[in-house]
Amino acid sequence: MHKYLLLTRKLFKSGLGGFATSNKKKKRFQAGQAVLWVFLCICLLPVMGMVYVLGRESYNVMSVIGQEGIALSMAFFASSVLSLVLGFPMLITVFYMTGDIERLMYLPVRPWQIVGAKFTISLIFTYLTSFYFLLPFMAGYGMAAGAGIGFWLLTVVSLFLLPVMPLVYCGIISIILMRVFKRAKNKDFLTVISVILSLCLAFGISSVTNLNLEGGALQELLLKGGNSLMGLMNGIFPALRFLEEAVAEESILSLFIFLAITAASVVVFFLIAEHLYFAGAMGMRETKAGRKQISAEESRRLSRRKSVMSAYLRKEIRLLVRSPIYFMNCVMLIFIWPLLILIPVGIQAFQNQDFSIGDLFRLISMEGPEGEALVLFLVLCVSLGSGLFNYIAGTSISREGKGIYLMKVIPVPIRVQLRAKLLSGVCFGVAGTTLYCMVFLVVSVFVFGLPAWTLLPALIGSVCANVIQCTIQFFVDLFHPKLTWESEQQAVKQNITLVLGMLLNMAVGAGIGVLVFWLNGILALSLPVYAGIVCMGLLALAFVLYKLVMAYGVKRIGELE
Amino acid sequence: MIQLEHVSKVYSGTHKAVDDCSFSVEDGKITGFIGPNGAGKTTTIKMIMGILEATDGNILLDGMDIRENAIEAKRKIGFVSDNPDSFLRLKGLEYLNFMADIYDVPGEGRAEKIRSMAERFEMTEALGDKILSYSHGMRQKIMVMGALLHEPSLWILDEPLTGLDPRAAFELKDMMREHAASGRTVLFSTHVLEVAEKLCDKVVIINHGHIVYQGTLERLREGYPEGTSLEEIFLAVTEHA
Repeated sequence: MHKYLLLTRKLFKSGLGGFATSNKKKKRFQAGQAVLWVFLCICLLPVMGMVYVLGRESYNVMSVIGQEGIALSMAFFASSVLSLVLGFPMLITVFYMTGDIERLMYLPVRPWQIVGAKFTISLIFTYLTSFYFLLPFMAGYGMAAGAGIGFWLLTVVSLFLLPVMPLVYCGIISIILMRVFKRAKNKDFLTVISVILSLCLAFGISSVTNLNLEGGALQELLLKGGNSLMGLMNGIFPALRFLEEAVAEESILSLFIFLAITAASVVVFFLIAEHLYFAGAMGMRETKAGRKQISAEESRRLSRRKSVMSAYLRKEIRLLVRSPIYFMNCVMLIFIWPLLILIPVGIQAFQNQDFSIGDLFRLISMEGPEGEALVLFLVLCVSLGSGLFNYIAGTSISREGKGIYLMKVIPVPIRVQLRAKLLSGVCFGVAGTTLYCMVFLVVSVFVFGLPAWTLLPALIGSVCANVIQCTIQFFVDLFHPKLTWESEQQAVKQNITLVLGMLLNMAVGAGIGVLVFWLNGILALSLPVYAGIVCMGLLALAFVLYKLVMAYGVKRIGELE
Repeated sequence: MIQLEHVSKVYSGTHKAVDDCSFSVEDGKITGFIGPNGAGKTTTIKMIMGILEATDGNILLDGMDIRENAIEAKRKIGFVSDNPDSFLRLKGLEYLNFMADIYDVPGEGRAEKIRSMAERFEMTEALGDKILSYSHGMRQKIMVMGALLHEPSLWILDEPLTGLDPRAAFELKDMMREHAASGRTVLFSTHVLEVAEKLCDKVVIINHGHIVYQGTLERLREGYPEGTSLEEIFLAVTEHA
């Protein structure tokens, strides 16, 4: 136990390694970090306010029929699913891909102690997201209920206990997957596939709920009152029912039952880790090396001369795609987001025989100006929303780390290098949003009778939206890059500027969306004319942002030493 | 030729890492840049490379000011860093072609040039693998190959022999001699005095940001009794600076 605590303390400090700089620099750095954190908190306040209102209103609405507990069920379930989905990539990365694994494996510690320490650190980071959503919700709920001290104490305990079980699920599945596929030669590829598989699994199993009662039974339970619906939503987290009871009914016994189940699950997880972790982790940092001579033909093909821009862009893309941490955190989500929507829809369709995908499409009538406007608006929103998934431009300077000096060594103007970095983000963004949208629109043109002219504004608008979002993230990364890191994980996962960029993306995306929607109402122009004006506006905004960021970037890279 | 004229570098407005340094690295010679830890070697090399901007003074590379003609001046340099852990996810051949494209090496004859360098460094069978799978020495070799593909007139190496096996170290020293013999310039920093003694036509010794000696090792020895080792001379020079 002592070694576990020691490891946890050390890992926690190295996880926040950016703070370990020397005195004067450290003070200035910490002051800068503090300002950023304060700014971040201010930015997060509006969302917290909304979640607070949601908690309050959920109580007010559901308490009328004596089912206020269902509000707690939904909040706990949503928080567990969030921890589950975020937990998979985090745990696979932390358990198997960080640079410290080989240094830890030769220490005289047991596998469960390493896994336990890494699990605890991951849990602490998970608290950041789970508290962010759950704390205001519970505050709103508790204030509306006029709850006493017992409720608040139990709430605090539940906030700490809640993410444990989802992370245990992630941990067990990760360790088993990595052990099963241990013999795979390309370990980078294996890791990425494991994460995609486990994400699909997470979305799949979290979509399976117990809420498939016959209408009559559900109605009966609803009318019964006394929180009879509580626990129905829990799906793969059956033990949540005890935590919900503990908080809603202030039941200490239920809390102890939940605590015991959670503790047992952690023990089982550590036992599995003790037997399987080393077998999966050994050799994880090795890379396949064929040591085969390249043929003269292949060598000549690879040695064809390319332009500087093309060479730099290829280098960026190769490094992004081949580094599992970069791929999973910066690239993967751009491409799999439709999957994350389709899996739950598919499972619901499977559970509910009356549901068909065709119904979903029929809901959107694509004929007539309203339908066309709606489709174009959706394309714009999806493209603007890409900023929430696409972290390529937003980490392109941070990813250089200590090697940032190489940008100044090579005889390539900084402007060209920055353009290539930005372009890599835009290329992936366009491939992950514009391409999907265009496929959807082309199908809609042929199947649902959407006018073909909509393709052009959709294409322009979507590409511009991607450029705008990438440029904003690029600016934030240039402004405050995280260049001091030991493992790639720190460059992208523990990078506060990335969150700031994402918030700016949200604000700008929402601003553009609202403006486009509002102007459509007051200008009363024909849709093709209005779409043309919007495209011109987006083009102008993208152009101005690009020029500003390039000018700032050249100056900023010169300052970075 | 590399010329430094009254070059200084001040960090944070107060700390003078390099103070009024002037020296030249002549064509056709191997110049060793020697100094204890924290003497200002890396800062000086970074200023020559254009990574850091000098607070005062001028740096000329083949007559070109690194500040005014940065891109053209950098084209003349082949640089080997002390840390070869860059571009680890690229394959060896991809890295070499990336460097070749960046330094405008013509496509014609490029494959043959890479093959011949790979043979010399015994890297032929490793070019298809990712640099991540290379040992430290192999990473150093691929960086050297990348630095020489465009046949630079100025070759700058920061602690280049660290981690190289004896054969690779021999090849590298041989290449440095060849480079200098063809009338081009070689500047390298090192802590290993024996290497400097065997390889350098000239040494520049820096301590506490000041150049304390520049010239041949023979001339440096003249000021000390016969039989004094280079190590003792070096300690004496840097202690009295």
